[in-house]
Amino acid sequence: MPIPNGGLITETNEQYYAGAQGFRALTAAAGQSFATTFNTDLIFGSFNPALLNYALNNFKLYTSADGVTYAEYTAAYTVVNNTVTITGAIALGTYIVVQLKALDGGSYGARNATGETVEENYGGYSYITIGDIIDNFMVGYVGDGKLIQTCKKSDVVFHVKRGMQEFSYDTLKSIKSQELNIPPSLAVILPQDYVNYVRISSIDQLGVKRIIYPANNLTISPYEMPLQDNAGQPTQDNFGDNLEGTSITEERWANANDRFITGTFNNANFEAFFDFMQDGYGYGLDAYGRRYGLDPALSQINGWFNMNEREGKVAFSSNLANRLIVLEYISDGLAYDLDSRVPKMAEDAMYSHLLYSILSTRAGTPEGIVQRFKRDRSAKLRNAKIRLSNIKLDEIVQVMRGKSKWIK
Amino acid sequence: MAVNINTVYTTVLYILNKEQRGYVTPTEFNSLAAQVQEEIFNSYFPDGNQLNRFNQNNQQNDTEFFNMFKNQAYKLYPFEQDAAFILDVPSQTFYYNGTRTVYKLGEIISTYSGNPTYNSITQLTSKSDFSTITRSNLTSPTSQYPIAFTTHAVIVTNPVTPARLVINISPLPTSVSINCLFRPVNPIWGFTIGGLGQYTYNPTTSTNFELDISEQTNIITNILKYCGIIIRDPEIVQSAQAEIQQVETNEKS
Repeated sequence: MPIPNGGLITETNEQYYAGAQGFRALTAAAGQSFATTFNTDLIFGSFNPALLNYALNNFKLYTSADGVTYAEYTAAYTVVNNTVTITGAIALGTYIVVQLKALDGGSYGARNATGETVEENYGGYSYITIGDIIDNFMVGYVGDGKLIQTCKKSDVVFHVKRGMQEFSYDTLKSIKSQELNIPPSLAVILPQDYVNYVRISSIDQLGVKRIIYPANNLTISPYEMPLQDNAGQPTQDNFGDNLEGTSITEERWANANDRFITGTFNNANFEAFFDFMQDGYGYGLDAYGRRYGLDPALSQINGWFNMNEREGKVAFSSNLANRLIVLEYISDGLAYDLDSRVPKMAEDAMYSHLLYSILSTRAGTPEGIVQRFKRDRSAKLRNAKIRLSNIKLDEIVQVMRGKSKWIK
Repeated sequence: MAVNINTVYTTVLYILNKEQRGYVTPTEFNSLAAQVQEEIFNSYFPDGNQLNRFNQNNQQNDTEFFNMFKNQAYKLYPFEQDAAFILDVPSQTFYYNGTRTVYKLGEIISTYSGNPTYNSITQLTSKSDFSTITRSNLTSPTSQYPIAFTTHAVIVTNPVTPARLVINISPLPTSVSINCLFRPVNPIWGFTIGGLGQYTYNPTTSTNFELDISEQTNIITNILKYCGIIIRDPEIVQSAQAEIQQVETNEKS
């Protein structure tokens, strides 16, 4: 079982869990090659730790004479097509280990192969790459005697990437997140592969996340702030472009006291008001501590954010300055070509999407066929959504146990 | 297995001479042999296209030896070969530098060395499709999905060669291997002249037909058809044509 035998698993247990693959030198000749078979491609910058590119390596090479004590091999070697070729001669029977970088530094030598390469591969079996989807589709759905007799590969590539984008928005588990600190400027830059946000939360001292709400109707980051003359006309520079100023709206929002919006109880104000009342103005004392006319949507202390499209940033309300936040967002799954992976739960939905997309854009396809695959796509997409929603009976039961709790 | 040219020539002569109908000289025969080989070779493509319709309609007989499309495709094996194309550095194109003549390009495998090394199936497109595909950021070619187009250009690498078929691949691979279909080499019935002035077969200077052995009858009847024209014997032309027609009807119905 630990040895890959033609199934979809191609790594040994050692390769997967420890991120290591061992070899032995069968001769003492120079130029011996050792082909690694990790799911992860080796990234090779340099064999020499003194050189800058050495830090690019996503692995370390260790050798040992006895298979017990290992030391890092820093003499010349090359890596082509995931095959390590040691330039010089090594002793017959030498143990050689390629250790991918891991959070714990691996198990060889000084245990300093520190990185995240091994961890990035964990759980990879639940995904299929876009490349595999394309190849499988061409084999299974395109050819003589099939509905799609011929199809350009570039068409399939186009539709699979479009499908990947659409699936990413509402079907796939492609929510990404960044942990950020809100600077005094109260704005953080949108991630490089940002498409839309899912949720922004501040993290309290217990590590509990508190949802920050969008300031939809409260404030705005204007897109343009033309400088106006006394007549209200925008003024232009020497090149004929409008002169731009800074946003006063943003400035006011940054300095705003959110208590005026949330109606949060303020002890100092309360004491002052109490003293005022004690001075002989007896009426109104029964209004202490009461809140009239509050908007429940605004009565929260977690803070607000709004999108500053002009600067490509997320802006926050002033009470969140220096707070830790987590920005959860969705990307389209195509930011990095090699990273494009589809959960296996949605694999069939992707094939159906391809079938429908290709047949519906092909001249002469009977409408009945198109409609059949439209329904097929819709049904499989729904299945994929349900599967990826991770609805587990035990978890539902746990939530439902709350039904017996007495609520006053 | 190739068709032996001496077998064909002696059979043709035997049939022609059976009733003293005439004689075809080796030079005439060689010309006819080249013509017939070319004709049969070229007939494979429309025939293959026709026979593939059975595949498309799921009507093909797929028992072991009776899949007509596969049988037809099999006949191309003598002309099929993986050929390495060479990079012309100045023009960044690949060209075939062998002795044979490229007839058609089949599957193109582009190799991109590195980590990892990709051996990618390359999509052959027209120049206009190439331009369109490269402009879309979703379909722009990568080392995993390269695209190519062919053109006719002069190779400027020394020695400068006449204009020939070149292939442009994007992105530029390290090396290219293409499953090519080559034009058949002309058959030659080589001979020496004996003491009595007779033609004697010389295998060392001869070139056999490259066509598959299953085409031997077809070659003979086709050559006979042309021989009938040369010796002005309509009876031979008619009987050869009838024979060819019957074979065609049998194969394609």
